Amino acid sequence: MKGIQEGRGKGKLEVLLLSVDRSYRYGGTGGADKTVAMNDAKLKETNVHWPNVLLPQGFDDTLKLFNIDGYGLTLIGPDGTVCGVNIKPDEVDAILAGS
Amino acid sequence: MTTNIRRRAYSIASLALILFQGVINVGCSKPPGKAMSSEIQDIAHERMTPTAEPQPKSNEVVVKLSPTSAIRTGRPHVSWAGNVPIYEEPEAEKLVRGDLKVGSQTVSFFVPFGPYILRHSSHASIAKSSTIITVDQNGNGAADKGEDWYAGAPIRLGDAMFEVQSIDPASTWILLRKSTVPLAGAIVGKKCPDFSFTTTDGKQVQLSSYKGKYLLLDVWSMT
Repeated sequence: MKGIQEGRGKGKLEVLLLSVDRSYRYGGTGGADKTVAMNDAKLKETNVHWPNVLLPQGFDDTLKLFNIDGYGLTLIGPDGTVCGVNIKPDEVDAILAGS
Repeated sequence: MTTNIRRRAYSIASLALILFQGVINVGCSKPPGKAMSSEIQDIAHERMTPTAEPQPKSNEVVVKLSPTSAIRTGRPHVSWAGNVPIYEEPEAEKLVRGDLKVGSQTVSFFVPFGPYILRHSSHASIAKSSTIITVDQNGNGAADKGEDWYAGAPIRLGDAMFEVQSIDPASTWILLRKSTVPLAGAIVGKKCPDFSFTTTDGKQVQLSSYKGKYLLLDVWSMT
């Protein structure tokens, strides 16, 4: 996704990470601060600098808000319309290329 | 020393459970926990006597459910034996269909045969414990996989949210109540529900923060 974001011009595509680690035993124990620290370390290790949100209820939050109960990408257009759910990176690129 | 013995005992117990699960899966054409085959469930369902339609209150609506040829690929079910997951093989589910006029739009949705679970336990996530209602958001007449909602939480029909109050055990009607929760659900071609989050570095972000740009929401975890 980094390549697509850089290739299509800065400011055209933003990425927001939604972490569901609180759904899991290892990510849900020790308090949210510990999970945030683990998330930050993982993102730093993989050189990812997108903003990250730790969802307090994990997948229950993605379900309640977006009706999404799994990993994946959701693309929202510049006017706030949903362009794709569970969309693949090449499909994102194609939409951006055509806009 | 004691810790090592405990660890070893735990490993042996886990291995035994995995082997036990393997024997069950090899030995049975259907996984454990399914007391009745789908055929028997179908016959039982056909013989059920419909219960009388309830009188809806002003904020409620009764939708008649009718037989349909649409089927739904069964959703995989995972139960746990201690720390060992037991995967139950999904089966195709027969459905009944309801049509509800919401504003100027008629929205179709699909309900499986009962029994129904309409409230999720406080100990389990929504996904694990309530009946799946499939809303035909794209209007193609099929129960597609990305169109599932859980009856234990408000479901989106068109541009309104509803709560499932009750369903006839014989699947002839469903009672829905208009919900006061904000519009939810990311549906292709529809406006994304508004959101407001605090990022892990303390910044506030909301849908309007990204106006004029494409936004990619990436659901992830450290696994």
